[in-house]
Amino acid sequence: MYEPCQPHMAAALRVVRYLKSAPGQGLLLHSNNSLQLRAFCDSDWAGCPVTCRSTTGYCVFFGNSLISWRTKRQKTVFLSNAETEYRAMAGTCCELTWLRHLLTDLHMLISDPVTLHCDNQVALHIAKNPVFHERTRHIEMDCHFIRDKILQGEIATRYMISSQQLADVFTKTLGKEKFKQLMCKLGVIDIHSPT
Amino acid sequence: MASTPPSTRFACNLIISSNLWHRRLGHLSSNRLQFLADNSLKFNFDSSHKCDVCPLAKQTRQPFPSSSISTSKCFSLIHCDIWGRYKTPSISGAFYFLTIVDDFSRFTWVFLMRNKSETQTLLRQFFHYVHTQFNTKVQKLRSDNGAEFLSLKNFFLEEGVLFQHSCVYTPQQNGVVERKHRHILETARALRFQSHLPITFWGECILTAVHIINRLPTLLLHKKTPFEILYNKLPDYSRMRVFGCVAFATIVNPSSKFSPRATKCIFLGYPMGQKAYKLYDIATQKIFTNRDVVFLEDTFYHPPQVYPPAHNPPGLPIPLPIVSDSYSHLPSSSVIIDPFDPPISSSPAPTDPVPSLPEPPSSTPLTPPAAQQTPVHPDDPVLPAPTLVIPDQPLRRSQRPREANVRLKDYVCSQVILPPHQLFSASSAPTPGTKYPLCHFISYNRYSPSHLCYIANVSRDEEPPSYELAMTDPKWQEAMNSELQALIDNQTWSLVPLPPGKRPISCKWVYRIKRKADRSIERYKARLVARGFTQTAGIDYHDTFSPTAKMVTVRCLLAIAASLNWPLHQLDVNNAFLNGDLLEEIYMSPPPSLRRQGENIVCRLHKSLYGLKQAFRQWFSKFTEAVLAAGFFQSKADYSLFIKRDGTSLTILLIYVDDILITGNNIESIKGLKQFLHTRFRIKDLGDLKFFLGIEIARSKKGIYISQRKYALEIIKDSGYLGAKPVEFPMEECRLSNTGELLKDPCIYQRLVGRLIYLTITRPDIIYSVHILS
Repeated sequence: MYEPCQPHMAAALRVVRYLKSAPGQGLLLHSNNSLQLRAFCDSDWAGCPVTCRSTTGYCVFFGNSLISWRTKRQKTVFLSNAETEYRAMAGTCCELTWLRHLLTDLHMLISDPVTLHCDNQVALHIAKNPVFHERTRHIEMDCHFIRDKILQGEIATRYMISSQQLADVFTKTLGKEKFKQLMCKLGVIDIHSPT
Repeated sequence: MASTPPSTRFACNLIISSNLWHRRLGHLSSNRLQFLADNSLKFNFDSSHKCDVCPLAKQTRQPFPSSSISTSKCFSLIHCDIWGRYKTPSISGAFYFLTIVDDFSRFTWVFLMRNKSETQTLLRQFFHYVHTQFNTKVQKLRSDNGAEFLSLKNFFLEEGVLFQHSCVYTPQQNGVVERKHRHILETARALRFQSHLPITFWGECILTAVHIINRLPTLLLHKKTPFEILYNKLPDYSRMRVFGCVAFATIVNPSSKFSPRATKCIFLGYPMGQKAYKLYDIATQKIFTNRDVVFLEDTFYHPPQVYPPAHNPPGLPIPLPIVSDSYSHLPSSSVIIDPFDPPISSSPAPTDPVPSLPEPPSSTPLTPPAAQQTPVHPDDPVLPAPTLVIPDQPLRRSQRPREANVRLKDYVCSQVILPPHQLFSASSAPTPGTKYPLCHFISYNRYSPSHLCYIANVSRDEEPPSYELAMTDPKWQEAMNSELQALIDNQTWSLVPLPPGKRPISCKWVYRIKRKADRSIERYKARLVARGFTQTAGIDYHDTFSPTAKMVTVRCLLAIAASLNWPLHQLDVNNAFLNGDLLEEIYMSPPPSLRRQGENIVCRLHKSLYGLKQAFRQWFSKFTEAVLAAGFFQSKADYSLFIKRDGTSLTILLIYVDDILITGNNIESIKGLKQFLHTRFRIKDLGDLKFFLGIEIARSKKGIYISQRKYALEIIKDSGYLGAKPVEFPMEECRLSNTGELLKDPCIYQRLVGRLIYLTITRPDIIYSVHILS
């Protein structure tokens, strides 16, 4: 952002051209919804070419309506993919905790644990296993926040195969087919599209 | 006894009946009325009655007097007109010709022109020519209202020439030259059809036609020719040849003993100032002059063509000629027909006299006079037509900047109108008339009519982005003046010199169209805002807080309202109360209209202005206090969220600076809240939520649809990409590194990315790309 180069501008203008393909695209917040939260989290690993930091991506559904999403560069460099995924889970967990508070304030009671979908088995295991592992001892302590939340019953983690990972679109560039398919699942529609 | 004498009574009766019948019979003419009065109706007709309806209903143009020669000597009156533009340029590149007709002799001069602007030079040259050759001066000049002539008014004044131009829409007053055009074109067409020349030779046809016409006897001139009148001698017909026929020009200096002694040419008329013929060399495609020529007057080089009525020549059968040196030295692009062809001997004129009575040009079928004397012959089998074909000229595209039709400005159109400046990249911008019009990507047919109307209103908002732009519009000027007056009346500031060591903050005008609940325009509002971001913490302000709700909260609230089918309402806070008292000492540079050159005067603020960091905090604490007193509970998850639970009824209030969003499961409770807010603040009820923070919200049974259509369209428009080819996904698989040329103006990039970031409020699809870009 501070020292943009020609390729950056070209990429930004490509986004504008993408916008042109559907300027009226938006989100549909469904009626007749279940009042449950679902979350998907994902990360890439060392995606930034300059700093080798990884990117967290998550999205949160309220029933079938997408209400929260984020792409965020992680602050620390991690050694393995599992660690970045774990970090992403922790980040999502923070958001979910906040959303639970918000919904409680709004008197939308959420009794069941919120399902958090992740496509990395190792990260799921680290989250579940309370025993500190030899190889995870360097992971920042705040990441283990998620273990507490699982123990408190606020969050339940679940494995999801990569091909069904909705948060993929927040962490990597995808091809046309995959991109469209995921957008459809996220509830992104364009009621302005000509028939 | 009645005092009225019988005669007067009779006269009175007479007028009444005459007028009455005139009106009864639909204002018929006095001739007919008299006939009726005499024959069937039997009343005394009075012809003196006046009617003021008849002229309105029936008045026509006055008849034009049939024009005759009114002058007594040459050049006391000349008639001028311009013909063109013709779609195909002539060989010399001309699109127009200027015709000058002398009223007395009816002698005609024609000058081929590339541009109309050449008229001025040509007319000056012509005036000199007349002075030198005939030792007289042009006294009057008559033309139509062409700008070319009107711009010469000063010249005419200097020369003492009386300039007469016709009335608007009255070409009849310039009838002499208009009639002459008809004659010239009739003859020129005949010359071209007989010779089968390509259309690029139209200039030669015109010049030759005028040469011939000047030598034809005219009824108007008592069967004399214009040439005779002007030069006092008979024209020479002995050198007349059939236009366009095959001619052989002698080669004067043959290169060898066995080289040909003549070149085959096409006869193209009579050059000026030379006793020779103008010829077109078929082999070299050049025009040249030669006096030793043998003509085959019954042979034509080009095969006869079928001339379609649409006048589209089916491609050029011969290559375009190159104008030779002897031809191109002529002044500008015009070719002057020489009036002095040296008369050698006289031969009988094989033409019929043509009357030159001025009359408006009509569309009577033409009878080419020359066609009778020269029979059209089939092509010469010995001479095969050359096979070279000129490539078609590329279609010319208008360079005019395109703008949207003004009649459509009240509608939401999917037209692509490119801005005149291509903001980001000129090279990748397509030409107007894109292959990818916006209507392929956006349509509004899924909306209900009322919402459609609303969207159209939203789209139509055109709020000027800058002071300079707003100053061009009187309604915004007025808005600024009234706002400024209100601020001064309110004693918001006092003008003082800037104390040393103090830094003034800047200010800016923002322009908003204020709307009623149905989005019809209420008023134009200009607001002076302090640029709070130029304030320094600790000096200009101490505590700040901005009650901006998180976007997730907004979406969350909308999702809940959609799921539970709650109503959504929007309120607008009138921010007059924002101008509260100010504790800190703040200096602001004066707004542009108060600025004076060279003065170091600043505004010392006494009251808070919109945009100051303190302003939001003051307002928000005041608001919070009021709402909490009404039994609301402030959410700790998002401080701008207030919830009130009363038994089963739940009312939720969300505040974003001065926009308030209310929802809840109990309509009565919502009404109560609105009423309560009305008592405490000046609030405008905007009704159902439709447009909030630039998000368009549409509601149906299926749910709530949120989009930033207008915002996205603005981004596309400002990038100059309205006509661009769209892509299916936002980013290619590539790794952006910090290599490559640095942007000269990173602000453009930063602004674009900033706007894209705001667009991610409703578009998760681009968030990854935008994240990478930022």
